[in-house]
Amino acid sequence: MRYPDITKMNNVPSPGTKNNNEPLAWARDIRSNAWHDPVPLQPEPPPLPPLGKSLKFMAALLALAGICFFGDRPDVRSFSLVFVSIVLEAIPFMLVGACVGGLIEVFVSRERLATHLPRRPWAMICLAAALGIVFPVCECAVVPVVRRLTGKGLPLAAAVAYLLGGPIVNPIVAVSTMLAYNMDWWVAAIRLLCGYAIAVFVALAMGRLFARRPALLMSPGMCEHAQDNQEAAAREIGRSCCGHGAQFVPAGLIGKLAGAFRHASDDFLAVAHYLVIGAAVAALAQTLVDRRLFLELTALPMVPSLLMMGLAILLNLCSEADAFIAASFRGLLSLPAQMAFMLTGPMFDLKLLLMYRTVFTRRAIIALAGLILLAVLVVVAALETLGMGMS
Amino acid sequence: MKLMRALFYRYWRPLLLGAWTYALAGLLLGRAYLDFLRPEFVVLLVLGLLVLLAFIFSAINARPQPFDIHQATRVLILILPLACLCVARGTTLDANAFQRRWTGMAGINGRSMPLQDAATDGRTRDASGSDEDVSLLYLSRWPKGYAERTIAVVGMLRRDPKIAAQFGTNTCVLFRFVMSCCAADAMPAAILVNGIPADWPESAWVRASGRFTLRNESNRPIPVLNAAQAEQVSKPQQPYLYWKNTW
Repeated sequence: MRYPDITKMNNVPSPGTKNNNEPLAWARDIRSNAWHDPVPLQPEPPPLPPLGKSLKFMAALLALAGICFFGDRPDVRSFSLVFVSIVLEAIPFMLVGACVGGLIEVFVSRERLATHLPRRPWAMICLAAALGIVFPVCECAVVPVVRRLTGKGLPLAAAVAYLLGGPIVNPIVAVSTMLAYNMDWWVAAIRLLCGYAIAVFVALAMGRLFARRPALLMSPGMCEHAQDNQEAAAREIGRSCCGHGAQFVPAGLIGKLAGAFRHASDDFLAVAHYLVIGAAVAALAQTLVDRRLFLELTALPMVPSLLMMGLAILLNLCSEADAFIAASFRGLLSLPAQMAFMLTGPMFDLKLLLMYRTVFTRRAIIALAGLILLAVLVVVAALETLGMGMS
Repeated sequence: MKLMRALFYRYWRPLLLGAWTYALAGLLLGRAYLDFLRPEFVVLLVLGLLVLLAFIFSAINARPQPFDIHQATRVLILILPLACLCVARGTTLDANAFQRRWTGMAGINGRSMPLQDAATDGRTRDASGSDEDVSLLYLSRWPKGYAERTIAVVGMLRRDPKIAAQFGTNTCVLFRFVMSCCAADAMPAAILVNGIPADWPESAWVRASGRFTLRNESNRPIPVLNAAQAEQVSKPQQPYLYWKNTW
């Protein structure tokens, strides 16, 4: 199913059209950070074939049956303990993030958002990457917020900058990193600075790579109502990320709050199952992988950093707690390898990979993942070169 | 049956959110969340519970959503943690988890970890234990303050073949997990202990008392408790230790 071409229905200029009277024209002219067009213009990915859907359903059913039938086995209990821990730790943040997203959806218009953002793209990116200092969020909460902000027309590059920078460049992470490293502010400073630099670099690169290609996605699972009311979606475009928000939001504060919660619950249900899948894989890794094995593969240069990046992707830890795990490798691995762990996890792990599917197209996710891993590797190599050996 | 189906099609979202709300309320009322999270998380869980209640009310009043195989898969996936919750209640990270997560004595008190005088740190006693009980967290992190003192400590037992090969078959590891946020990020705090009967099982809870010493191995102080007395005890009310300063 495709959305209607709203540029014809609603007189919205198509990308690249010069129109200085348009309030957002300034932003459209910025090649690397073009305001993306309202979401329904993005081509919807083809629906999964029935076989794929059935397989997913069967896999979920089998997993549920496995838990029920083998629940008394010690390894299944260990898996369940870690799995539930990750989910319970993340769920409150995700719920709050969804609520913030819902409130943004109902109370913040595109125009208002545009007036509050810097006009220069690099300034916007630099500001967005550091927004975590004012609005500290972990990586689970930031996804629903960014999803709504992009729906409001936040440029891709700024969205990526906040998405990657927010979970690292924030005071809570700074304090937890210092505590994990015996109040060593230097480690925390390196982490925050490197995280900020990576967020800015990846944001700039994504903005340039996807200046003319769609990178933001509205999948059918995220916005079910739009499927059965395309005309309303087209009419209300610009007021809502999924093109139907105003139809669902009655007037008055109570009505608007109800609408915000409706959007928030939609967001939560759309993103939460990705968190659950990611948490399940992480719990499996924690139940099966012996961390001392990593230490036996550390003789070659850069291998420890690569292994720690892999570990960060597998473990799916919260950015506010991962410094304690990294610190447990002190004396065994170099600081750059520990830094590789602390920089990769908050930007790219299994649950985030799945959650990004609710925000970005597949091509954009591949590019994003590649850029993050490349940037982390470059930073780690630079730290190694600077002579930061064993911490 | 038809009515049930119609009701489910109409209210599957509130039902799913209701199941989550019920689970969260049960965790909070029975304090079972302590099996998974550190105590301070209660505030966040209560907040999450309130948000879920608001979601339920908004979902009841919302227009019905189609329920196809995609939604059914999503529901199954979201039920999975609730099923695991039933399985995992009352479970604690044990010797198997210790084996997976332990990075060796160097990871605990290696050269990068400055050994401080715990006695001057004001954190010498385990809040949950008796006067003479010392927390394994402080013993493993600030062992100098306890060197050559008689102490008692409670922890789980682990017989590690590498430890036995290096320090003797009579030596095993006494550990507890230290939680930063949740059980997924818990790391073991461990010391070596001598004098534990060989037939005591892995993961048994043990209270051992005796002289605490620091053994020098490759210029690294390794904390060792020479147990004069040891007894198996029941699982403590709070099996995990917590970083006090992280919150």
